[in-house]
Amino acid sequence: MTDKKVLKAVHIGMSTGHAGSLDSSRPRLIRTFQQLEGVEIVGYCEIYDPSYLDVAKAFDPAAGVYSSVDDLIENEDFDLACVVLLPRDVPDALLKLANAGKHFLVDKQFARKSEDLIEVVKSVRNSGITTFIAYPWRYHPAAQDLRDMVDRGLMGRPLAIEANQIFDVVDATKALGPAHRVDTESGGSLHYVGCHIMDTMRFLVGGEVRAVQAITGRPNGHIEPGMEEAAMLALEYDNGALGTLHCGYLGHLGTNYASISLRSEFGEGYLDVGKPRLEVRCKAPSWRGAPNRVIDYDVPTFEGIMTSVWYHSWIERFIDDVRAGRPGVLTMDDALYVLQSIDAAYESARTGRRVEVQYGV
Amino acid sequence: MATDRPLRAAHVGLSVGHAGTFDDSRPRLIHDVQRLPGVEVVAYCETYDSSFLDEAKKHNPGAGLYSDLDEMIAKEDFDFAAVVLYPVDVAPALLKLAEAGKHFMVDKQFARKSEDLIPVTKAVLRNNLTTFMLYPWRYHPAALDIRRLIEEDVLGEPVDIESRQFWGQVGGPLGKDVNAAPHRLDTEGGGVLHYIGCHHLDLMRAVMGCEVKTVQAMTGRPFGNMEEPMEDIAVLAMEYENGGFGSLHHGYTKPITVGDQAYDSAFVLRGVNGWAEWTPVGGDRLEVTSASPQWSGAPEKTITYDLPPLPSIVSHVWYYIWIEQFANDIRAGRPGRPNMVDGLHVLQSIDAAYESARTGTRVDVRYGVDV
Repeated sequence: MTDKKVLKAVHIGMSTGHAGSLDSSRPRLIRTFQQLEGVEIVGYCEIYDPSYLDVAKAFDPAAGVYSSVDDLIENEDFDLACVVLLPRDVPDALLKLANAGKHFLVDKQFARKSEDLIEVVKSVRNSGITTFIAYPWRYHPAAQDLRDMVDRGLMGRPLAIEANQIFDVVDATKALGPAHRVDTESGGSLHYVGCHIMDTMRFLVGGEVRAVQAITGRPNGHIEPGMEEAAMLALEYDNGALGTLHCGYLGHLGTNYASISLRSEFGEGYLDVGKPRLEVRCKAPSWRGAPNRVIDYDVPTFEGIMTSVWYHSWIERFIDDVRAGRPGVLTMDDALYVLQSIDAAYESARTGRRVEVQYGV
Repeated sequence: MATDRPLRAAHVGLSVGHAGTFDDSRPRLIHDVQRLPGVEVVAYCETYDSSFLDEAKKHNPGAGLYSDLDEMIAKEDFDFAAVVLYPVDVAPALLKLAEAGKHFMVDKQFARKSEDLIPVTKAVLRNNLTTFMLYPWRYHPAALDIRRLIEEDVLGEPVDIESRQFWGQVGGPLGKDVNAAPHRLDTEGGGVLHYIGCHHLDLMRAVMGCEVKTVQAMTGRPFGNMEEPMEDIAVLAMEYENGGFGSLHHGYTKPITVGDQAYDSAFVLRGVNGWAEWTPVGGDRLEVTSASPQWSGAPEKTITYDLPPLPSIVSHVWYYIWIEQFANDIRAGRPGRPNMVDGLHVLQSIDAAYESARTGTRVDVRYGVDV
């Protein structure tokens, strides 16, 4: 692929949350793609609610509109897709795209179960396409800086990482939504939101979860049986670090927060996920003059997914990767690994045993 | 017990940390017992270093001095003891005191293993003794407020609880003395969970209002300076008897040099109606958010406590008043709180966590003296 060509993009899924609106009323991935340089939107596919296609047609009369992924692939000439579907439907769409040699960016969660992703991963590898997995928090400047400090040897060996992720209680009404049903999502707080923190933790620790012991439960009892409201994970990473993740639908009055602390041989780093601040204490000789530091970030806003330039720049990087024929920074393998560690946690919670995570296809 | 005569107290252990000094250089339990109204210190027993008895003699010439607990029990007339020994020696000392009908307050940890406490607990229950286990955090005004807010339905029934606590590394260039008693297998019986995690485990059960039902745990030795299997890091996932959940993440990981904060910690309790964060544990600030109609006018509150200092163990009045309560409990014939049964239960939950870490299985905690 040459770097001169305008890339043709399609949207698969318009009615699911992170797709957002065509206009500025609820800017998410659709608005993000409208602003990518050298990218032209040529088609829209919506399989749940055809009224969204009417809106797309009115907004962009030249674009093709489709209610079937097969029709879209067969009839439209495009290079890449932006996929925002319910987890149940994601693997099927991704497999079709990968088999057709189409690059894609995909919103989480990527499947109900990790086994549903294996054929997708194989196809992505075979076709050599570029993928972008929408786990944003590792790209936040604070997370990037903390990881950079580890990479530069300032922090020494990572020893432990603790994290939490708390959202509001899923009440009886919310529990009917697709994010909280077994048939569409298949897991509770760990599956739907904890996945983001699991990815950020593996990024900061610099390793995969080797073994997990977990307890899950439904202390409020609103969500369907089989889906958890609270998940407590004890984790061992393949570099020897230990971790905990405490996540749940347990908050009130609009709670949505997460925090991560990384404990290393020579230092500690703390961040409230998504907040523009990093707190670091470090005993490296080069930091002797100022061993305790608080870094505050000026984070420019952007009218798109995550509402910040820092994330948009990584989506731009995805476009560059497509042009350069690179696999992408965070690939389908990463999506599979996170989901395999989540499935291992559920197995541990179900069996009461420590579970060694089985990775790969 | 008659209420019109002073209680006679004896110290068992003078050289171990929380006993403190006779002078003002390091005020701990010796100061607290000395300060108690209606209490007379009549004897001292020190089994590790006899020079501490010389110091005691200078400070209190009328008191009996002993290097052997059996001898002190045989010869001295006293009502209660303040016990500060290495965990390996605590349970045998407590058993002797309990069988002699002596009340006691005792510094943690109370044994190397929970099984060592079972005969002690049986003797305490059999003789209706008053006991006071030095787990302070449940009595901090912030912890008491969390429990009150639960009972008043502002927070509602507890759903989940988070604890983290990190202390300095043990051994190595940035670590504490690996040969110190708290870090040796022959004296302590466990690593970070055993030595300091016990405090948070007691706080958590006091706030939750119930015991840990089941635990899944992992422990690790990333530094590995302590003897095996003493852990530098312990991570626990727990289910409580009320159906709530908890996590605990403690470690000897902080690279400490002179002038550093010794440790950091965090504590969050979430109920069906709201949540409370007390970070750091022991700090003077409690943040509470509640969706309860009772708080609709101001759903978020931050309570800041003015905590008067006192030259005392834990260094504040808020804990000393509970030591006074222990003396009052003796006079009234009450069992005290937290008592020997609480001490046993915390250690049984710790041993269950170690069993889980060792076997890789979820462990149901078995409580009581008949396990």
